[in-house]
Amino acid sequence: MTNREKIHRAFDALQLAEPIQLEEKRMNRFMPKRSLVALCAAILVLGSLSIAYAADLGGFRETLTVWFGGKKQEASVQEIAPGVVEWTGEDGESHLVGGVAYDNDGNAQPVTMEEIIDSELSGGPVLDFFEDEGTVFLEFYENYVEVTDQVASGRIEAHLEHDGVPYYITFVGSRENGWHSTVSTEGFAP
Amino acid sequence: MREPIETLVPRMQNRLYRAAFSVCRDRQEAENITQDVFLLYHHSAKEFESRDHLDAWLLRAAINRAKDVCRSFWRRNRQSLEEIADPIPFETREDRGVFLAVMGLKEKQRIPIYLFYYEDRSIQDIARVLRLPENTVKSRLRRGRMELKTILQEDWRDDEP
Repeated sequence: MTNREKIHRAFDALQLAEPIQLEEKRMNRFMPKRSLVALCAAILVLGSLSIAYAADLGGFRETLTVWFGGKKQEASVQEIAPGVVEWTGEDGESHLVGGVAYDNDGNAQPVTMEEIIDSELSGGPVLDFFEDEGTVFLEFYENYVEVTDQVASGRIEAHLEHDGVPYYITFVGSRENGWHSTVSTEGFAP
Repeated sequence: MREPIETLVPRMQNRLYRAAFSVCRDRQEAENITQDVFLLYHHSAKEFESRDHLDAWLLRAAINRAKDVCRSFWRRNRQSLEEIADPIPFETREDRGVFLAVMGLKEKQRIPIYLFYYEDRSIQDIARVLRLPENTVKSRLRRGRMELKTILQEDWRDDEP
């Protein structure tokens, strides 16, 4: 028997005690989603801090996982105005994050938490910045570049392409104080 | 494409449950996560390129949700692996041994091992699901296999590159 067959046999024994029931009451916990801005064709500018870790499904329950103050932490979030979200970390401190997305015609649209969550869940984060066993990676539309050596300087620059379009990504900040990120097709942020 | 929820649930419920369980090692939480993922799908208007694309999306959602939920849950409700395995009706002692060996791996190795061997996902797929570079997935698989070889000894064959 191969290793694969052995693992199949072992995990096949693990089954739900009862089939899943999709109760109407539970379905109603979720609000219908609004139509989304086409972020794929947009220039995204995020302010105040980087959304370093994905807004996973927890986002529907208004929780996010963010990288701030040198560590990954859970945060409760609330959209307080179009394009502006307030989040409160484990230490009780509140912070603001937000920005706008520009479509191909240059029209600005506020980025909402729903849009960020949806982009995370539907094919990878637009922009991510994460550490794995001492190596720091920047991810943009599933393109990765190692930026470990730039972190200590407080400024990270990466030039990546997506769908044939060159993007200039700039992070300014620190692990202790958070990061401000800018994505542009024109050049790095000053 | 979209798959009707009536056929999707019976087809995927145990796969999502196992994926969530492989992260959080708690049956009740894994069940809740499975239900949440189906609800997310139900309320999403997303179209999928293929059934495989849909399955990968669901797996990713289950794993991400499990990481979020169980990171805090785990700290409060740590059970031994033996306690976790006791209620599961394994057919043989060897099945139980393999299950304990995989579930005993660190999360970084356990999830890629599970996706590779149980879900038959390629390294490229796993990298996409876990949002990791492919080389990181390869190294985690390699470390996971080495651990399994140490634990299972002759019950683990060197049959992968």
